[in-house]
Amino acid sequence: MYRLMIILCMALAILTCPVWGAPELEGSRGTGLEDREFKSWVGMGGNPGSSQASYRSFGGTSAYSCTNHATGGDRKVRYVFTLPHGEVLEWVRVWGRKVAGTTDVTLRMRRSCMSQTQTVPTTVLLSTVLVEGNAGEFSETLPVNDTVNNLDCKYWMDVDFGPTTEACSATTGELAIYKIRTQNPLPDQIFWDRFIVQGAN
Amino acid sequence: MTSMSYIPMTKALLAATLLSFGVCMAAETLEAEPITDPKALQARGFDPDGPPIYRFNREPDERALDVRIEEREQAELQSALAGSQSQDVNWVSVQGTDFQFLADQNAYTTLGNHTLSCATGGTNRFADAPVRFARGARLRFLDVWTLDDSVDHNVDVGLYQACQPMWSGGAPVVTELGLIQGSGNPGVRFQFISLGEVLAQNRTCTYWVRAMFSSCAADTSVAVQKVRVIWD
Repeated sequence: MYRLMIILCMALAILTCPVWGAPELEGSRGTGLEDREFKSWVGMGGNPGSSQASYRSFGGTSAYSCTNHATGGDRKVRYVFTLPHGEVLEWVRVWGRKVAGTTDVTLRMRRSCMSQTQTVPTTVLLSTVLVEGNAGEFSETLPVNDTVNNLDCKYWMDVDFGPTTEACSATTGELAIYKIRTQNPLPDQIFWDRFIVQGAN
Repeated sequence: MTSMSYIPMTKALLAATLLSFGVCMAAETLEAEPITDPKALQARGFDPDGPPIYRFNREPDERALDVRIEEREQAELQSALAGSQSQDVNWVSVQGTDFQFLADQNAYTTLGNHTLSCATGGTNRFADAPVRFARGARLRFLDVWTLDDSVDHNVDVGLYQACQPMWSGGAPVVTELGLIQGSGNPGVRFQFISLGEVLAQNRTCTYWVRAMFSSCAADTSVAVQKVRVIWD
């Protein structure tokens, strides 16, 4: 009886406090939160790939919902990031919603660089994740581990709502991006909380 | 170990587990009142049949605008004289095409000067512009510049926060941090409200400004010129 209570209690704690297992905690000190900086973009903060992209905001939460309910159109939306120069972009995490019958979503983190002496940019795929099936309210992480170089490079995420040969969803809200969050370490500070470093982002 | 020795161990584990559960749940507790009226939700661009959003229950400041502006200016002057003003950027502004209407191909115009109007024939009255705050920012003021030459139509501007679990999926929980409502036809106008020193929670939340036009029929007679959030 007591063994069962212990097991149930531990399961309840794990289910309600899912900090354990979050890959973004790796390498951070203490509780893993104070030495990291987070920047977030709402779903509607993205740029549709073209005027052929059909979208509606979902639920009033500034989520971006793909509403190409027929074949054709544009399924891409881009989120352009402004990140602190010289810091390591460690992770990007994406929150969204995907129900059964919707197209699979491909998340691609890209970097494009071109110095003052170059005329053609070099674009690199830094990380990619595929969200498949009936994911429900999902959250996916993309490992990046790239040192930000704002002098020459630009960073963004491509969200691709599947091929144009099928409808991405049947109704608004079935396939949506809620938010995207980047994570980078903070420079060493004397005080972690509420101490603003001169010139920091 | 006898069965009796399990009791203190179990109590300790149970207490630790409940504490962990409570800490996790407390981290997501909102100290705000829910907006459940479908009309109020719809007026703000939310699903009238959807979950409630929240807002902080603050007493409105009924003092004249020039009195409140004077108070802010004096506070900034005192802060500058005391040398306590940070040299870092402590504001964010959005205008024009920073906003995106909540439906594709909605008719709008920025009039070439980076303002925002819902154009005649537009079917969606709401436009969002994401905003980001410095780490640890204590939000102080929502400042709004508008043009309103329409007797019948206005534009409201609100600042919103949507929070989700730190490490897993989940539907967003939305809080209205501040709302400035337009009225009459005052022409060009500046308005602001105090945000009550809400702390930005960049780890779990995102933020955006929403322009809410009462009608697209107003066209360019109603425009959002600029929205700014100030923190310290």
